Amino acid sequence: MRALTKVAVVLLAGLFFGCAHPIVITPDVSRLERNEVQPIACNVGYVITDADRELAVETPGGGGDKVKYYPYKELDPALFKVFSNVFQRAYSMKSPSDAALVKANDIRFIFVPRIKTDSSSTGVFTWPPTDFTIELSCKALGADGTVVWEKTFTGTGHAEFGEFKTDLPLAAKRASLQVMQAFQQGVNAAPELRAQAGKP
Amino acid sequence: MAALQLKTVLAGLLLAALTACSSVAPKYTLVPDNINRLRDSGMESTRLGEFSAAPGNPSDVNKLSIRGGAYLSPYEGSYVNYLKEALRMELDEARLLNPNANVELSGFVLRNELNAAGFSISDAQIEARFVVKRDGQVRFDKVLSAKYEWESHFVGAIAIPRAQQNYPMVVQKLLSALWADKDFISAVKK
Repeated sequence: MRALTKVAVVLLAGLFFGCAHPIVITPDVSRLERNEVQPIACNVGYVITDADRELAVETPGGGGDKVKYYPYKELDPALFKVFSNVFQRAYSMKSPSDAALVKANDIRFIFVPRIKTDSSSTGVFTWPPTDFTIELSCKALGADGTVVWEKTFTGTGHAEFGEFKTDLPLAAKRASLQVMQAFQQGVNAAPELRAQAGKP
Repeated sequence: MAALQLKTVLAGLLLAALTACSSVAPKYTLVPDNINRLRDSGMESTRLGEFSAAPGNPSDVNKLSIRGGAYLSPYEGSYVNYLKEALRMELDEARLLNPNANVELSGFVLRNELNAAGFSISDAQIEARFVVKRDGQVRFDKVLSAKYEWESHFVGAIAIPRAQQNYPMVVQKLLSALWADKDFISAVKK
């Protein structure tokens, strides 16, 4: 009887308290439309270091639980899609100082993104976040390493239980889609990038 | 009496810990390396032909479950469509999709499995036969497969979301294998 009670306590603890539930925050990248941009005729790189790619982040979910995800790794496909939509070619770089890659692929700008996230939930009995925020700060470096463009974008997502019960990270996916759509508009509308893209 | 009640509660908790309700798989997400590989391959524009489950296959490749809960494809409930949509998405992103192309890629899904019962390791496995025709002539006909493993957990609340989120990786691996296949590239090269 005492053993059964212990098992019950462990199960309850495992089920309801202190878990970091894995979620994936990648948005539906097919909604980052290529026909919404005016392409810029040059190749670009974007930097995600190995350390950033493996960076796991935990932020609050509901009922005292947390959610765990990998912001850089999981937003990589969306970053690639934005750059691939706006520019001729996009290349992932592990470091901004990879001169060989820059030369081999005629890379004109190197984008360096920084990502901050937060989440919360109004739910007491469910762990998925009902609200999610992503802040994407990004600077573009020119061939000489100077910053030619820099801007910050924010995306927010909200999802109720009725919506996220079949798609648990829905609030996060809505936030990531919103921030990436804003990012694409921002890059597309940057006169600094268009002006420098064609310079010899 | 108290012991019986406790056992009932325990059984309920175990059920909650180990099983799931139905869920929908995440939509396919393109792999940046795959896109650049395709764009550098010299591949000719391609159209997608018929994709279906392999005829006579006893297992239903369109049905997956995770610890008792149905795991549904977001593409009309079909995992054959999941594979076709993944191919469409990557070819389109590489600017290689053309409905009027002379080169056609079609295929059969032979196997599609998700094994999430494990308490330490779970995996997904997929196998498909890909066929390339150029002007109606078969240029490539090969079976490719992929397996993807991830860390699982005893508690369903952790293991089930992991399984839900990791299935697309096996499709990504299968596409990576196809785009890297030398015979495939020879068959579709300009």
